[in-house]
Amino acid sequence: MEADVEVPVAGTDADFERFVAENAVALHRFAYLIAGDREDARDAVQDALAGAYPRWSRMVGDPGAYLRRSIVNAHVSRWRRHRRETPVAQVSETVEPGAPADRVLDAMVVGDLARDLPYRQRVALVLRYYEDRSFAEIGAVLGCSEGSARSIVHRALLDLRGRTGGRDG
Amino acid sequence: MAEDDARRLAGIEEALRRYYAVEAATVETDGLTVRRAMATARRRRRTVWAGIAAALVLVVVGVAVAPRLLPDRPVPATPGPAPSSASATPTPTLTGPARENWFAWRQAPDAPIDASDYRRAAAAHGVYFVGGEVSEVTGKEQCRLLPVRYVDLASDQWSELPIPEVPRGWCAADAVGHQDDLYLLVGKDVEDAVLAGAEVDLPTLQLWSYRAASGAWEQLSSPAAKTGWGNVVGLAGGFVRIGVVSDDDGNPLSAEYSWFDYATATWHEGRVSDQSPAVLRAADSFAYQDPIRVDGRSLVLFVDWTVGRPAGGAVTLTTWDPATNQRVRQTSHELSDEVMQNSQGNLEFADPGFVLVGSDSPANPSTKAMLVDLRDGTWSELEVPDRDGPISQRHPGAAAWATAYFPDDLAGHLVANGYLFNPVTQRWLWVPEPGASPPDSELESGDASVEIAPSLRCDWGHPPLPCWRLDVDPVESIAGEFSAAEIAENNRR
Repeated sequence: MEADVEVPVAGTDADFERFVAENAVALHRFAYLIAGDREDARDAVQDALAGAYPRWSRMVGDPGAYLRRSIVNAHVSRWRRHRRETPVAQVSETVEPGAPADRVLDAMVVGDLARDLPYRQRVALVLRYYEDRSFAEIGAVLGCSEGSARSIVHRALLDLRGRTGGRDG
Repeated sequence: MAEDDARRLAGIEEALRRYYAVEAATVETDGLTVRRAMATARRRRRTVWAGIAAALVLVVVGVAVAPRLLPDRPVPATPGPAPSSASATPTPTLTGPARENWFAWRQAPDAPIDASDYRRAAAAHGVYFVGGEVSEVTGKEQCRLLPVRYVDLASDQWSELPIPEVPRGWCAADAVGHQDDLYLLVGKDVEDAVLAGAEVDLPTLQLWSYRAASGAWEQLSSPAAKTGWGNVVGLAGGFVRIGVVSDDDGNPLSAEYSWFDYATATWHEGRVSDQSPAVLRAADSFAYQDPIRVDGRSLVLFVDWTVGRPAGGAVTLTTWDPATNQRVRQTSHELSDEVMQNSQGNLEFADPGFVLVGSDSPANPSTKAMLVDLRDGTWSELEVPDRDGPISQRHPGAAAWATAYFPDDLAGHLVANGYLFNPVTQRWLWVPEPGASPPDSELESGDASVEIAPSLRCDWGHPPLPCWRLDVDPVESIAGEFSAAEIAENNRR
């Protein structure tokens, strides 16, 4: 049994192609930052675009938010299929408070630790500190309330503070 | 010390920005092709329609199986050691789904909402959706309340409520359902009332209620409008909002609350009686969203996590009754690194007052979780099935969906590593996961859909949204059982 393939209205293909041309880099970078793997990121973006194309003519608002949500959820699905994510480097020792370190080193340490955070926290941090999204926008992508998004970001920062030698309670 | 903490948080934020900028710059669009995406989409559509045909055949030939009841077990007063096989009562053993097609998706009426613009409020027999939009009126952006929608979960039928005679925006709106009624907070409230780039002109905070029986809106007394408020937490007797007063550096100084009592339709406001550091930190990080029932009492639970150096950590749980403004219990426990890492901050709740600190997902497995009985504050370690062992090979259960789908039948069950555990009966169950995606091309991936309710899922986009209902056999005919002894054997491998 095969139904008719839904063909987007005239002009939609061109709109879709234009959107992809203008946003592919940003989407790929977003996916990479949450996935930590270029191949996974590319597949997630490709899947998200494939999912968005049939409904492009009906889409309103910011398609970028829709696609980010798809990428986030697609990565979860892939993650679950593989059982575990690709392990990231474990930082076995915390950074001593006030330890001399230049800002680039600090950024790398914090970034590596952030990759070890729970998935939703990682996504929230990328949206907040890479894409400068509001908490409402983060909530829309994560499928939670604005308050919950704020809580997720805050919790992630506290975790990072603890792991980098800050107050742990 | 507080200044150091705030400075360190700011440093982490700055470090993250720098890290992400450097990492992202290494990515180009290699291999991404728009044509491939379009071709993939067309292929998927054909494949899925074939899937629908197969599913229809299965539904036609399916044979109903008489449901079995979940057998009762003797109930110890507190969790004790797992019953041995010799002490097991001669109740029927649950063995998993009695038939292959134990679940089915069927098309439901379209949803008339763009769910991303709406907040939901669950009521007794359905779900209210309250939303709004910012629009530009005479050169000035304003908030406007969108039509309030309601879906009856018995029929999946959507209806539109009459709109209260007040234009209010979602940017400062919150909603809570109670029995069949809706309570709606609207108006100017906090810093969040001003959206990024929008100067929003709103009146001060107002509370409205919609009575389902009469179909009428009524304005009730208003709470004080303050800054720093989080979401509404709905309890059995009313709902509460909790806010934090901070110093100039953002450090929490005090937690305050507004409690609306359904019975008297009045607000009670003041400082939270418990100003302990754990409560202040939890309130400041909005870690109090979870209402919990302890011995029948509906309470707010504050959760404060502390991260150890270099590993592990602790969690402090505080129950508080906003109706009396009294702390009920506060209990802390050190967590091993395994529990800390695998819980990912996940807490599971079950009547009559149990909390499990551990993983709920097969994707994040562990062999240990912590169980706390909030009735007396006791903690115990719980051995949970290692997902790499033979139990998972026999029963690849993923039960998190089931506690939402069967809230009454599974009220006493916690989810651990994807399995169900009843702390009172010490009984373990596995429940399979229904196909996550309805068999329709619009929802084929399940990646961009909206869960309206555990039984109802809709597409995400411009309304009307195609929706699908999930029908599942009774839980007693799909659950399987395994013993603590099997877990021990499983985890030794």
